[in-house]
Order: sequence, then C-alpha cells, then structure tokens
Amino acid sequence: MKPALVGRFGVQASTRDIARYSAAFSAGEDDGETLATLPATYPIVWLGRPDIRAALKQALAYHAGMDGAVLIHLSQSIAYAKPLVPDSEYELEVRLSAPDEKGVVVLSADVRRPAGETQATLSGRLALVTGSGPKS
Amino acid sequence: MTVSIDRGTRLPERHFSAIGMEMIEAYLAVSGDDNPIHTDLAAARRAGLPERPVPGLLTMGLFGMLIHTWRPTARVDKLKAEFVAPILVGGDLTLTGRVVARDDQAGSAILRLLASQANKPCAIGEAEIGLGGAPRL
Repeated sequence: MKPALVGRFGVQASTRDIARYSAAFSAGEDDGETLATLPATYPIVWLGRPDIRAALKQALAYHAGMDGAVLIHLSQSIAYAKPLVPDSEYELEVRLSAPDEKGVVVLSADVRRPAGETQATLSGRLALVTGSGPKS
Repeated sequence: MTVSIDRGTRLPERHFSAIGMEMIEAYLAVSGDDNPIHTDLAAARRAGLPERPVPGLLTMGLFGMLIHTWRPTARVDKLKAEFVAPILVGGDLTLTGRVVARDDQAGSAILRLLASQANKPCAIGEAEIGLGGAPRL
C-alpha cells in the first residue's frame, strides 16, 4: 500500500542549530567549528520539531492505530543527492506506511529545494511497542 | 595530515566507559525526541528493557561524528544504521569503523561501522563517502 502523506513542512538549520547539535555528541563541548554543510544525520532532527511530531502522532493514530504507543527505531538511513547547507530553506515531505503484520512502520521523508529538486531522502523502520513489549 | 582511505583502513576507535544521562539529555534537547523510554526507567521496563536505552539516532549521529573526526572533509553521501540491540544507559560504548571498499572511478569509499556494548554488537552501520572532499553544491 502506498505510504500516506503526513505533510509538507518548511525546514532550515542555522549555524547555531548545527553547533548545538554537534555539541550534543561531544559531551557538551562546542569546538567552535563552522560547517559548510549540515552534519549527515542532522535532517532527522527535523522530524522531532513540535509541529511535525504532532502531525506524525496524528498520522500514527489515524493510519496505524498507534495512539499512545511507544515506537522503537529498528533502522534508519539517509542518502544525499546534494549536501544541505546552513540557513537555506527546504521543504520536508513526510510519509508514513501502514504497519506490517509485526507492527513495523516505515517513516520516510524527502528534503527538497523550494523548486522541487530532491536533495536528500530519509527512511526509518520503527516498531510499535505496547506495555507488554514489542508487538508480535 | 593525510588520512589513508585504502581498503582495510580502520577509523580511530571511540570508547565511552559509561554512557550517562548527560549525553542523552543533550541529544534529546536538540532532537525533540520525547520518547519516555529514554528518560523514564519505568517506561523502559514496560517496553521490556532492563534500563533506559540510548536513542538509536544518537548512535547514528555518533557514527557521523566518528567519520567526521577521522576525515573532517569527508562528504557523506549515504549513511544507514541497523539497531540490532539496545545500548543501555550506564554501560560502555565502543564505536569502530573500517574501509571495506574503495572505488576510484566513482570517487567513493564504503565504510562499515559498528557500535558495541560489552563487546556485543548493538548497531551496525554503513556509510558511503565521497573521496573528492569538496561538497557537490
């Protein structure tokens, strides 16, 4: 079944956002380095933005019947056609698959220029976990 | 300093003797991840885990940093990670990587990455990096 469209969101990352993100991996130290491109895994952070997260939770409840469930990441990938750069505006198109028989959903997203050119593609497999452990 | 990217080259290992909540909370603060299993021991136990797990995407981010530390100008074209076992708070964490293929014609190399706790594989990653250095802007 074709994944459902969760939504399209305007996203960007400032140099300050990137510095905070990088510092989280170095025990809070900011090495003062200015990157010309976003760290490879940075776009995944956009999926945690409150408005995108709210849309995702709504989609999980509506399309997957997962209201209130805990999701656990099984795998994640990101592939770049071109690097993303700080302070540039992008569109993030987020899609969600229906759960398979084991309660695993695929959350995917394309990062595009406003003109429509895809710059990067994200895909993650997440398992539904209820109070009694992973769905089986 | 020239960094070898020949097949078999090992990336400098990174080892944490104990993963503390400080790193997790710093990551959660920037990522927006509000999954309670990472901060609430009771929620982790309800999910069948003995301790709070490190967010998988934090581990993936550490893979990215492992590559960046080894080769700061590397252009990561692809990065993927499979989270095969939870990495638990309080335990150790070792990150390793090696070059498994190099394609001079395509100008790329493939890295195999591993995150392990107590010598047990927890996340297996693979990255494709550009050898040119300059980003394809």
